[in-house]
Amino acid sequence: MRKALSLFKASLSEGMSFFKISGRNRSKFMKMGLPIIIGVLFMSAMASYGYMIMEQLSGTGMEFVTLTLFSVITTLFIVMEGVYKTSGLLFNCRDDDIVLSLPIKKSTVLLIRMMKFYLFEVMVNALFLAPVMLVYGVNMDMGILYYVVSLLALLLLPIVPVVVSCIVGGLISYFSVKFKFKNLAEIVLTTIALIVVLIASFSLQDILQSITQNAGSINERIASVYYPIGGYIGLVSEFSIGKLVMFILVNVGILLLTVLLLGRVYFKINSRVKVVKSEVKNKKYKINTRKPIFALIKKELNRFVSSSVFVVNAGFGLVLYLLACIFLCVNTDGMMVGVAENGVEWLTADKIMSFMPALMFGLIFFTSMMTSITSSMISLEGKSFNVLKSLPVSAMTIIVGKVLAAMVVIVPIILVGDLMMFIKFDFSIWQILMILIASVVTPLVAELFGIIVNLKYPKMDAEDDVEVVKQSMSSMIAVFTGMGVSVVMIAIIGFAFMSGVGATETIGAGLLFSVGMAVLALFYLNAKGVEEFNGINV
Amino acid sequence: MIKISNVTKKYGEKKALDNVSFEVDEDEIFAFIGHNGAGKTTLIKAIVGVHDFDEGKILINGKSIKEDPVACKKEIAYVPDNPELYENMKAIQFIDFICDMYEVGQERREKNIKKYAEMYDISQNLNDTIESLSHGMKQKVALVAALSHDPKVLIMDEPFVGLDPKAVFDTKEVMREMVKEGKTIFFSTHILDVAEKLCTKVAIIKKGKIIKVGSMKEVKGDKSLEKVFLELEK
Repeated sequence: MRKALSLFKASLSEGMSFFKISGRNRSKFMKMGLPIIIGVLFMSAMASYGYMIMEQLSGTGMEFVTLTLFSVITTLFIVMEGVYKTSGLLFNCRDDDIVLSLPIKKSTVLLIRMMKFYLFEVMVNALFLAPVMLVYGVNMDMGILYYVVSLLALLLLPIVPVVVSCIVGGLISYFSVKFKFKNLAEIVLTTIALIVVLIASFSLQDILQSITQNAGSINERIASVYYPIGGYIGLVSEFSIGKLVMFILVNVGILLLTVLLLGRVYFKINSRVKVVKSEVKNKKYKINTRKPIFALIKKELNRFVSSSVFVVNAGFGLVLYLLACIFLCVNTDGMMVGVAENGVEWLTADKIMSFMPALMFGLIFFTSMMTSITSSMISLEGKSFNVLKSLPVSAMTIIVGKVLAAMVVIVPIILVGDLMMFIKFDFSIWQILMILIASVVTPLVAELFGIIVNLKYPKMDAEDDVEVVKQSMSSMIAVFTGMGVSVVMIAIIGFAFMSGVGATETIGAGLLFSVGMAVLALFYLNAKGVEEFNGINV
Repeated sequence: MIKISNVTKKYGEKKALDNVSFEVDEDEIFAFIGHNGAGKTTLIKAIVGVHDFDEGKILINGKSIKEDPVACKKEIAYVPDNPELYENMKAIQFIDFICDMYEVGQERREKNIKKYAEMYDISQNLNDTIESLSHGMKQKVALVAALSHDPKVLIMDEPFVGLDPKAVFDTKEVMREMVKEGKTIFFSTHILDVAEKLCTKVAIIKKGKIIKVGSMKEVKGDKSLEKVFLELEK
């Protein structure tokens, strides 16, 4: 037990060091203040959102549905991101050689790695769920028991999604090794798994609708579909020691059972995943001469596609964008019939259709802000950052190379969506032109911001890609800030729509804002970014 | 030529390099020795522009690494102590990438890669990903990449670690050959026998300060380099 605890402590000191920024001294504010402010802002947004939903439900006396809704959303979120984190967190870890050579059971190693994963998800759970739990407690004037149960739920609810992620991720890692292009197979399998979870989350609306229609048997229904959340809601509405013990036993039992069963095959899977296939001995190698900037872009793209976590993380928003475009192209006519029938005077189909280009701008802006590839690119250099720094090219060229590589990934996919929309909807030439410019400028803003954040918060000693792409300060700041800016932009677009501002004017203003941000970011990078780059010592 | 004048580098209050000065001329093989943590890697990283330094000047063939880093780096090839290369790349892709950065033309690149890959016996492994290579093989890839762009100044941090005896021999031969062509070689090592037989000049660093520098004969006199080093370390 002592050995396991020591290993757990050592493992945590490496993997959970969010506030550790590589390479240089930082002020306390930069190290902790800024991330805490962003965290508090995010939690405040969650609390406000939760309060708004509670207000809507207060008439029906079913405020507790808010807790169900946020628990389900958090659970799905954990499963979605957990599936592609598993390959890096459980398998093929950098500390495998040292950890697996220690006199510790393989199942203990698995448990420790799952616990590390679990602890991170507890934090995610706290970010999403804790504010809503607090708002519910205060609003409904709940007793101390509610807070105790909720705290327990914050700790226990992530267990099952973590277990599901580990099993699905483990299977993906196991089967993808069979394929010649292992990474591609892993990316495809992970994407399929994510789409399945996504479809499940789309049906969430129907489930909630049926919940609100049948309040009497609500807890039984949830419990029959997914016990952990049903168990929690059951405890909130009617506490009993028996229910509490059951709630704890089921969650912890699932974790222990998984460790027991997966522990038997863990070493086998891990050994299999570690096999690196060498090419058939072939004397004929290809030499290609490129200009330095193109060589840098190619190097970055090579790094990007070599990491399934990186690809899936970046690709998720882009796939959603394409799906949204397809959805709009296919369903808009039907939706407009619905709008025409709802009888709201100021909301007419014509008005929506004429505002469609601005809505599309909002969609592109949102997608761009949520797809920050560069926020991981410096950290992913790891120890090889010294190779980069010793090259005879300027720091700015290297930074530009990284931004351009990200653009090469993002822009073509956005353009495919643009094309679909241009064919389906009747946009003016000006609108088409502005949307095309926005399709380049908004990702540029997001990627410039991403690299600025990564230069400020580099994590050069990560054990695996997951730590950088999903769990580093830089990627979290980029995503949460992107989310915040997108919400503000969408709110402004919504306000413009309601105020009767034209689509072209709205896009124009949004585009001006984006161009301004891009210019500011470029100035900043030139003035400070290069200094930050040179200041990173590995 | 490398000219280091009064270089100081601090980590907080601690001086990792304390007023370090010496010169490495063209056609010289210069050994840089010292115990672990003495400041060898810190100075090497400062010379190649990977780490900054607080005071002093470092000139590479007359150009300042602080003021004109890109021009300096064009003259240098750097082989780090630990070959932390791009693991996802094939060996040939990495070498090609380095050649691209130094703008080596196709013909010269093909000739050099062929020459050094055959010399280090890695031609068969050039299509392998770097992550699949052993430590020694990675070191060979790093050496081939460094040599493929015909550097005027070769800077290596413990280049013999992990190399097999033939590769050690070949590396020494390459160094001798480069010196004959008027190039500058500077490397750190713990293998004092090699330094003694191979190098024309040597510097010994202790706790960030150069405690002895000069030609091999001046530094060791009639004793062995090992003996002199151990005496100075006391």
